[in-house]
Amino acid sequence: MQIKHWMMFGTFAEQRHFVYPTKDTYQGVVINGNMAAHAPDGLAAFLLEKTNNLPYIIDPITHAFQHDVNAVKTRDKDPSKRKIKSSIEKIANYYGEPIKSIVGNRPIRPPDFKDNSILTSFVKNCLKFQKDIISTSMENNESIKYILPTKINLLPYALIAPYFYMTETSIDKWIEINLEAVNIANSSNNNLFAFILIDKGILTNSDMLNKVIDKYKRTDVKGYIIWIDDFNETEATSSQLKGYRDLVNGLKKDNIEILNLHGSYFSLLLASNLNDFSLSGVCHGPEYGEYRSVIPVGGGIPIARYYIPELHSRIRYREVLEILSSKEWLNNHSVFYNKVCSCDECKETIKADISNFTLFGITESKQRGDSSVFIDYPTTEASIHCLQHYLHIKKKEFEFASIATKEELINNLNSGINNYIDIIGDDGIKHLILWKRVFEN
Amino acid sequence: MKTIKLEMDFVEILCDFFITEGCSIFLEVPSMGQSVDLVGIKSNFIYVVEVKISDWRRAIKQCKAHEIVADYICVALYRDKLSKNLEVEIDKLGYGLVLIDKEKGNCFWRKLPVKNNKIWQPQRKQFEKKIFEKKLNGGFYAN
Repeated sequence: MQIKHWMMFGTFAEQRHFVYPTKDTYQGVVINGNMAAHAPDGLAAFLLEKTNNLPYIIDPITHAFQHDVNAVKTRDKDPSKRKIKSSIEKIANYYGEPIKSIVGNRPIRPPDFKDNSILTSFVKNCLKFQKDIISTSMENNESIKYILPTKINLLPYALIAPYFYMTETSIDKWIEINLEAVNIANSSNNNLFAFILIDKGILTNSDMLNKVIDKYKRTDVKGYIIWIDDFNETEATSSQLKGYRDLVNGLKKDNIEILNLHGSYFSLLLASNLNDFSLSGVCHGPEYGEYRSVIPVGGGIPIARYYIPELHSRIRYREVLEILSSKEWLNNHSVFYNKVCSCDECKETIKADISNFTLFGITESKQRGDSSVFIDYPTTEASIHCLQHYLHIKKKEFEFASIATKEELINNLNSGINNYIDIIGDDGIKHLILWKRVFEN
Repeated sequence: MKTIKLEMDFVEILCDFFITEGCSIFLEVPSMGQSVDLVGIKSNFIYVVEVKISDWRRAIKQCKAHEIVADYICVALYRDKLSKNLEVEIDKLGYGLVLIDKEKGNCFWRKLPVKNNKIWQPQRKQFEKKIFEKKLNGGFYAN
């Protein structure tokens, strides 16, 4: 069964990656609501001209209004100069009350929705925003004249009911509002997805997890989108992974799609034969976004990372060199292709000279701001090599997990464990062991 | 702030030490997204030195990546004694260890480094380029 491969739109500089390595790699693109509000014409042009008419979903990011107000403000050092980000302000204007009056002043709270008519109008505005914001721009885009009308659906693939973040301490306050928003939205739409945004703690609290499953399973929606806050599958504990599996399996119903908004290879295993194909799709960004915090955090200093296919993980370039060189897999290009990776990007970069592997880690020193400190950044070329290699391997992973037998999937995890444990030890491969265990019980 | 000042003073003493040892010195040389505190070149051999006021475990972790590019790898610690654990670890890895005589204010070899044979030549060449760039941009102390 084909696992749907979704990619998260980050910036316009990344447009070309949505047809890489091939035009048909992705089944859809997820666009953040603030980005849609900020640049609808650009996104319309992107969808019509730069992709193979990819289906899209707009994440209405309604949870953004629920956090510390600084998360929706500009990052001026002087707090008095901080303003609401223009894209957030735009989206707040679309959503109307209670968001419009509260944004930037205080976080939205459950009592703000105690009047059902306010919640109803908020839900309707939120859905209207998703339906109209990009489709209207697409209708007005010049290039639409050259596309057969039957070949394109201007509307989003699905609409998402407004949703709020639920933690162990806030679930009781928010879950009924989230469910009521789904019910209101469902009354006027037949392609509705419910969005479940939870804290990791809920995964290991069986009462709460069952509550989420039971309540959401009763909603009459076409699909679910799951986002577990800052849930790095390569660092998760076995009980968290099992909780995630239980959530997916608990929500599974016939003809219902379940998409993980930020997932890595473990999510693909949940979408594979190993888990009766319970998860239907997984989304990630171009080389990032396999996990993400609900409250955005700074990205830190960029560093070249090479995705080691058998570890299903991005590793710092310098550590990759330590590992591969210890294994003697950097001795020549043939060994490398045989033991590490033979994707098109690696072959085109390395050719017949293994010293070209350094092209994945070339750096340049740049002065940091006005200070005298120089920081070593990956060059654009190195970043592109790492990214394109990552996209090749992701495509292969989706294809493999879609068709592989249970035995093949387990063998693949075993290869990673057996081939790397002697160099990186138990810590380096523990995620593969934990992933395997989830499907053994 | 005090630690930074101490580290700067320590680096200065280390420069004198490695210059006396016959090295040309380069400070803060970038390598694979890290910055090597001190690089010494002597007879075409590259010495890399990770300098720490405390936290020798972190120094050793940082040194691991240098095995790809350097002939001799050293840890310099602002202390005159060392724990058994550190000594065992340093021995096992073949790294050099430089300590400071706090009373006299000079450095000494506690353990000489063993020649590293894990170099991957293509990356070594990249590192040599970075050292050369450093030479062109200053940050270079001749012996």
